Amino acid sequence: MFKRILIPTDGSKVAGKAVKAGIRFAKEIGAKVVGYYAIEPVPAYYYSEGAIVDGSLIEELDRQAKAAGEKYLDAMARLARAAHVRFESVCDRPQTAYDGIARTARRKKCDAIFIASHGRSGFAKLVMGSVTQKVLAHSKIPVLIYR
Amino acid sequence: MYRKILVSTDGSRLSDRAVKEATLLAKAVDAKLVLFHVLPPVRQPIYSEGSSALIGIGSRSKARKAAAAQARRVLAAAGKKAEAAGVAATKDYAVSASPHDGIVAAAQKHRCDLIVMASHGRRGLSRFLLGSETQAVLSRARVPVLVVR
Repeated sequence: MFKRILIPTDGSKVAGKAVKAGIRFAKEIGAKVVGYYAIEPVPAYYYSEGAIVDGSLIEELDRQAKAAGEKYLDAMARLARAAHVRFESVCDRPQTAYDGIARTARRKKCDAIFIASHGRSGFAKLVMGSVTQKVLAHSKIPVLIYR
Repeated sequence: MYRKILVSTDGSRLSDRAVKEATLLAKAVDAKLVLFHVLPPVRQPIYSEGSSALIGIGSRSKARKAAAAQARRVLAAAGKKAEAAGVAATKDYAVSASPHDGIVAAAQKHRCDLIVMASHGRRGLSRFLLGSETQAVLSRARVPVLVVR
């Protein structure tokens, strides 16, 4: 069965549920978990002409985005530890969340992805989140869509 | 965690992979398998122009029987894999014009807590896109879906 499961999170409530279920799943099949968080880039308008910001604000925003990711991954690490599931985490700043997920799955040699059907921007029950959609379309390994 | 896993198969190579993964998973978590196949409804060529002379009465039921036999063949092949792995499996098929409805309904009927299916079925041509049926199951299913590719 699967040996290394990638569980991406964006810190949303739905993703939080998927994280819990994913860790339980990993425990049951004796797999290791790789937690992943994609740091969002500072919104482009902060760089636009006329924006009243200075470099330190951008740095601050960036720092906060990174801190948020680390917070979510720490929470995941605690859950994994409590369940006696081996865990490691990756937090980086990819071009897009999907890119980051695909690259991390490859780099960490994961053999499955456990992902929520929606993330932060999920708004309807009937549609799938855009990141999940892309992960599914491009993934070469099995993807479990949690809902 | 997952006690009853529905795996849909259409007999294609990719869906064989789904059956394989589902079997491995069922074994690992000690779950039961439901092997499921959707048959398209038999069309009614006997009512179309010019066909009455060629197709006798009873050909519909014959066609239906042939389809059911095909379903049993597909399911028997999948059943063998499950049996070889020592996984308890039940077989079921349904007639439905839209496979995704059949799959979602079967998952509910059998009270499955996970659906396993291939990213594409028989009609899949691109590895970069998701099959339409898979997509539809994903948006309608109430339970998690493991997409195998």
